[in-house]
Amino acid sequence: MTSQDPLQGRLGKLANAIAARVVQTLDLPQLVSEIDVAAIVDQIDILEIMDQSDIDAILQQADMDAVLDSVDVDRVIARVDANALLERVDVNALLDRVEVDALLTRVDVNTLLDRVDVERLLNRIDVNALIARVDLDAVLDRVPVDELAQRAGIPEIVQESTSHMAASFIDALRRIAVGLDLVVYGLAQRILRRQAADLPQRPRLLAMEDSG
Amino acid sequence: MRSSRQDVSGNYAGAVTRLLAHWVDLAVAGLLFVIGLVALDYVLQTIAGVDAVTDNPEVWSATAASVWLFLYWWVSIAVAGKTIGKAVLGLRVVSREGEILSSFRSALRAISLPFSYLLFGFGFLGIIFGRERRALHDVVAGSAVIYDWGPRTAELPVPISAYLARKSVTESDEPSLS
Repeated sequence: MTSQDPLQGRLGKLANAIAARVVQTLDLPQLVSEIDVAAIVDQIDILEIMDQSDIDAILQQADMDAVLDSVDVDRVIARVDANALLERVDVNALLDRVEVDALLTRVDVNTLLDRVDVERLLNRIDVNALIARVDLDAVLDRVPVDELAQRAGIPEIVQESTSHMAASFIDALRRIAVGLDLVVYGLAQRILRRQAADLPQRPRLLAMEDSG
Repeated sequence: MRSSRQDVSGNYAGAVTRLLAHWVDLAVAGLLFVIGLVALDYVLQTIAGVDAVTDNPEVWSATAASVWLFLYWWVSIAVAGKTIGKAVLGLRVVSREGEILSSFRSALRAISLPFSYLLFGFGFLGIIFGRERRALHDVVAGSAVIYDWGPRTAELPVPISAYLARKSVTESDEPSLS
């Protein structure tokens, strides 16, 4: 331990005494008001100060939670000009950095579809406008109409209906002929004064089949 | 309305239906005969060098027509129980008892058919006045002709069916048309 300089000790006391006296004499508020703070700040090179500072160490010592709690986020956001911000964003560059496949693999399509209101979606679709944009000729050119007709059984239906119509026509003619048969035969039996009920209507075996 | 029609399947066929069927058969057989005759004449001329039709037109045509008509009636009745005309009008030839007509009886019927034309068609009167509505060739062959519309039911027209139904109810003791 070194011995204190007696002169320095006295000067120090003197200086302290003078300083105390000066402070008592000065009108500090008046003095502060006369300081040009702006001029002082202009002379400060903040960047140089920051370069010399250990920002990380400062941040580690800072209570960030307390800082963030004191920030009024809503007020900050209210002051943000979102449009100006977005104008500065290069969307294409942003999208280039997005890995779409990885994004899609994380999407639960079923859940997504469950949330889709299909009825509402369909109601918003202008079907007429949609159809008007469709080139039906081009679509029909690609449709195998013959194959579809075959698979739908249209030839069989046409054939069946045609056969049915022909059979109906022939049956109508047959009915007329059978009716005339009956009239002619009835007249002949009246001429012969026969009782029709006594006459056989059909061959014996067929009549037996009919009755038995 | 179908249910109101009276079923006549298996009943003896009458004169009008059989006459129409006969006309159809004559038309079909005649048409086929002409086509066959022309084809046969062409074949004979080109292959054998025989001009049979031109050389003996009457003999050749009469013989060919007779053979053809016999075959037409015989084969079709023996095989199917009906000719084309009978098939169109819904008729079938059976034995008098109602069985399938044998080949022999079919041939007999085809041979005797022309005799029904004799004396202004006297042989056909049995279809109108006979108890079993049989023509002369039916009597010779032991055959009868019945209504047979295949899978469908042979029916009377609705008005006649309705008339017969009313008659059977109100005049059950009166003779009916059928």
